Amino acid sequence: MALHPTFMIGYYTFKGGLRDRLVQSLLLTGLFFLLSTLVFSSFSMRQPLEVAINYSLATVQILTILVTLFLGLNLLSREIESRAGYLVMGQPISRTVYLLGKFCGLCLLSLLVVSFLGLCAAGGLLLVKLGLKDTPAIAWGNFFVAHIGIWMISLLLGAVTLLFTALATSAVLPFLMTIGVWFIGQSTQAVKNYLEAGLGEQQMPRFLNWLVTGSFYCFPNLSLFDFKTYAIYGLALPPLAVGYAMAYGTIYTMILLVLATTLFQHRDMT
Amino acid sequence: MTSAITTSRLSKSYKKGVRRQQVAALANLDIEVQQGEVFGFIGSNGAGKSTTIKILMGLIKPTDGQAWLFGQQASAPAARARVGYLSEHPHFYDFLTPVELLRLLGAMRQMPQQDIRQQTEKLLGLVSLSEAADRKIRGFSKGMVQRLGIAAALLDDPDLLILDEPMSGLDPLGRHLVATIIRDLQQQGKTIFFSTHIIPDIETLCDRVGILVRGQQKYVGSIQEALYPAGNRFEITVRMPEQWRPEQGILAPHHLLWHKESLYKFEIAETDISSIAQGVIASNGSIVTLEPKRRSLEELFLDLSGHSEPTTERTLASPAP
Repeated sequence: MALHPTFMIGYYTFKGGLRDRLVQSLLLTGLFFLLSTLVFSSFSMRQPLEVAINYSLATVQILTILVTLFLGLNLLSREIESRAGYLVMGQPISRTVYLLGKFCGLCLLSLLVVSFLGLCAAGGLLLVKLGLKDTPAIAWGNFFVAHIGIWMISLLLGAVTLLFTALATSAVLPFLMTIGVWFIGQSTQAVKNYLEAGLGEQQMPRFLNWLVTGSFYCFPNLSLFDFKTYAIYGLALPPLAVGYAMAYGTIYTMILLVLATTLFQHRDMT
Repeated sequence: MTSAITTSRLSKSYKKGVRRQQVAALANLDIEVQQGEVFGFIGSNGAGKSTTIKILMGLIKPTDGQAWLFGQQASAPAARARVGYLSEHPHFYDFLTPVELLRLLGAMRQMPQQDIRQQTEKLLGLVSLSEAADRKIRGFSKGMVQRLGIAAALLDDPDLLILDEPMSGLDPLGRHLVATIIRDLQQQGKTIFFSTHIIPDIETLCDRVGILVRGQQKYVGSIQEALYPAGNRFEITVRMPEQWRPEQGILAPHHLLWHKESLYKFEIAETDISSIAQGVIASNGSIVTLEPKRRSLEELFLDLSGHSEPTTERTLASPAP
């Protein structure tokens, strides 16, 4: 049975991503960093395993997001610039199908990247643990959920890239704007907590206070997907927080995709 | 029967520069391409040909006016179901092989797998790419990419082909191949709309032409009417003895277009043909060709573009055609 065009575009986007030399280089870099966990964990005298988990998860997150950003850049901007997209958009399919197909490919690829790096990280952690005595067990369930959180961040940022690409005519702008959203998204929760604690009002002008609150509601709150602490210290994961984060991520991503497809419908392919 | 392509007052303008000045890329284009017709679209670079084609393919939206493909709004995806498209300087996913590319496009068109396989084999053979079927497009030459683009446009056996500069980047063999394909498709009753600035292609392949100059439609009509305007003028080429001079005898009052060695070409009126033929034979000469005076499409194009030079200067200075 023939696949729906959305999935065909997704499949070929995934295939293109796998053959992308930049993606391959980033994966190799990731492998190198994860192997270096063995060295870096030994720097800590008291908590080598915790340091190893922290280092591994941070590496997986940064590399997954970098792959998403670079691939997201290639997905639309470069494809429109090089006119490769004309080929698909000249077929009897809507632009929504095209865009969603691209997003499907991005989802698959970032899932593969997270899984590959996650497995490498797990291997590295096992080696670290083998060399240590009297260390607590690794909370593999939490480690797994932390990776799902990283994947959700990459999907959300992928949707952000698509939204900006649907708006901008140059390739660089969406890239920079997505990086901006990534940085803001990681800190909005911390800033809001700071304001809610009443510490900010004494030092910050009121309009800045409003600005921060507005930003909190406009920009994605990426700290919701950060389950690293639970994985590092083997803390009990609150199911509600995980469920809330997943629902938030899914709904936010869907809203971004709806906006991106709506804008993309009206964009001239020049 | 519904027209394959219809445009009504189709216009497109862009905002350019810091001051966002409106630049008209296309203004009030009205064309109607009938089914089974080969329609050539001529214009210099920036005349608005690609803009028109992009509007027809739903890639850009017109500022004003409308376009239809087989009676459906061109912007609707379903309107492209019967259309095969080749963009100018096509660029494909270069990590794919031609077989993979055609499989992807077949899937976009919801073609059955069996049909995709059969068409892929047939079309890659047609464009002489069978041997490169499983090679990555990344290593293809410009001509190979262009030929692959033609195969891609023909994949679903479309009723209408929209080709943007199909001869661009092709060597003489490639151009001959594309011309043959276009003629075959015409015989099958397909409609072909193609843009080019290579005028001989238009003269030999098209039933009708449209000429765009700086976004304005300057001519739409039969190629015959364009090349053979009324006036009953003829061109006669004669071979004359060495000592003969054009200032002598019956051909003296007629306009000499060119000469080379013993060959002379004159422009004459239809009513003079008989007397001139007799005069040539009487002077021990012979008639090499006699044909209706034909304006080249290039001349027409240059006239419409406002770049024409005086006809006499050009024809006298040029060597034998």
